[in-house]
Amino acid sequence: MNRKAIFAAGAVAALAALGASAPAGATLGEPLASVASTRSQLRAVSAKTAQRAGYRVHESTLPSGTVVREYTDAAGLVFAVSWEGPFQPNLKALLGSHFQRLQAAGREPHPDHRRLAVREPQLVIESGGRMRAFRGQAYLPEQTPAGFSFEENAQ
Amino acid sequence: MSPQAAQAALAALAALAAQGANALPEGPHHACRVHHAIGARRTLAGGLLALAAALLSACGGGGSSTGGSGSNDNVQSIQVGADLNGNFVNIVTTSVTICVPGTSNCQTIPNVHVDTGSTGLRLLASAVRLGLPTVAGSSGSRLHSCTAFADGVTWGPLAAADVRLGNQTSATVSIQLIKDGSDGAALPADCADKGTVQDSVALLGSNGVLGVGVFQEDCGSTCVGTPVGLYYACTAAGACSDSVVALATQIRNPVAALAAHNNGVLLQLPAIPATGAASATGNLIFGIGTSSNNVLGGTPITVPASGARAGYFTASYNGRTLANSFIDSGSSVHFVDDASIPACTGNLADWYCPGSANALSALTFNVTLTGSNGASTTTSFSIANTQYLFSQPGSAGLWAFNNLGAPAGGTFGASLDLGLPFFFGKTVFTAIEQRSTPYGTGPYFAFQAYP
Repeated sequence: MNRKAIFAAGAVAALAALGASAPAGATLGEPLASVASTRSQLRAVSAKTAQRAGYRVHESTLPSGTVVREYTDAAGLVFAVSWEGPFQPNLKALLGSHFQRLQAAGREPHPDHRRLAVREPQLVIESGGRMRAFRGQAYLPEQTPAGFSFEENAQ
Repeated sequence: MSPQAAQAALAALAALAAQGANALPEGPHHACRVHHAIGARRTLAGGLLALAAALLSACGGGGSSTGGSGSNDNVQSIQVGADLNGNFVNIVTTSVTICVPGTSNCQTIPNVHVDTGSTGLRLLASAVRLGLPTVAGSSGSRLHSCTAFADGVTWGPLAAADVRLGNQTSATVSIQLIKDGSDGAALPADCADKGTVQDSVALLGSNGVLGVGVFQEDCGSTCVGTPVGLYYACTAAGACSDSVVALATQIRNPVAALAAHNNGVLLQLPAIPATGAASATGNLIFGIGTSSNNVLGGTPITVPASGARAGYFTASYNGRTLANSFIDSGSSVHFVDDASIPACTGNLADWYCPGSANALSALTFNVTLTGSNGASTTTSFSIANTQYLFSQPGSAGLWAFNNLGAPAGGTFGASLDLGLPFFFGKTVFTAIEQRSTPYGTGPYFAFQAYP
């Protein structure tokens, strides 16, 4: 745990989220069409979409075995993404312009190499895990529909 | 940490560097409440001296970093204390000696993070002065690794080295040299897009990571057949492409490549007060059931080597069943999502603060760990008020804690990660996959009281 971080963390946080324009394939905060381009960029080997109450889950399995999920609301906005599996996926492809904020957090002092979190009113990113077992999630709290919950790989 | 403590640590290093090899560092923490064995203290001094030498660019290299218990040749010293930045608490480190394969041209690198949650030796290239051979990929390329951690990636070439562990040698294994730009290989975009590139002491908090977890290689069979963005083959012109790599060439758990004592490791750390300690010194022991100093008296908690539950056992406490649980020296705190434990407020909001911030307020949870073999054992873990621990009198000089906890933040549901706080007062066993021990075949975790 990093005590310097504790007393300095808030400052940088507010500066970051004002990122640049979203690269191609970016999904978080982007319209539904970005789901297809992300799947293409990540070379998904299988994909499926499921309807939930008030939102949809677009699940893709990558060549590495890692599963990524993109969640869209009724209007088609990607309001959340998650990843889970043995190898870290391309997070920029999932987080889009918000990836910058995760990068900044990785340069700020943080507890260890097992967890990295960005928790702001408009953006939450949580990345965790160890070798061969990674998992993370990101969402836009102000865009998240009621009753939403992240899904997990079957055990 | 407080500015005062940071200054004290820097002053101690500066004094050490100025005094050169005759200095016997006391460090900034005179109030250490942990007993240091003579051998361990000597080793600690050796580690700090090596650091001073590196700072002076006058590294003499060589020398053994082994210490610890008696005449056993399978042990070396580990320490928990102020990290190289004076930032991190609960970071356990050791000194690692590497050699050009088959030679006595060696160098000892101090302050390497001992991590049972990763696999393979990764060293900052800036800390390595040896000229190590590269590792060839297909068509004359040189292999590089983009290794993911939860907080970013380490990028750099593979190198072949003999790694000395205790008085044993892991001969010609692939290691990673973090950010060695000398061959002109460009950081692939797909690697940069996985997170912050962790390429300095400032970011790593150490000179590197000694991954001695349950796996034999960092990737394993997946990378033999499928490129997953972990290994890259780089041309002489510096262009790198996602590559498959044979098992024998992958970055290896160096313990698995020892001629003997190659079925796992033990970490031993002494008990410390619930209010924390300035430092703790213990042992990293190689082999399980191979010598008088690595006998297991506890129950092996077997975990799957592959599949969705690879590396996990089930932990049960307070009526909760957490199927994705593990023990990990690389976690500086216990990570668990438990709504019954109050989180801290303000800048400490990411950590747990049960009870009053004016007192330790430690909670102790009895927990049952059940392995995939059905065997189970009971133990306990403790989570105290983090705000109290970090603001109590003398807190700036404390670096080792046995009761820090934090929410996993939803990133790992149904998981209890027993981090370094769990290791104090115990011998913790981590058995390597597919390796037999007198107590069963790895992978498994086990533990018993220490000393």
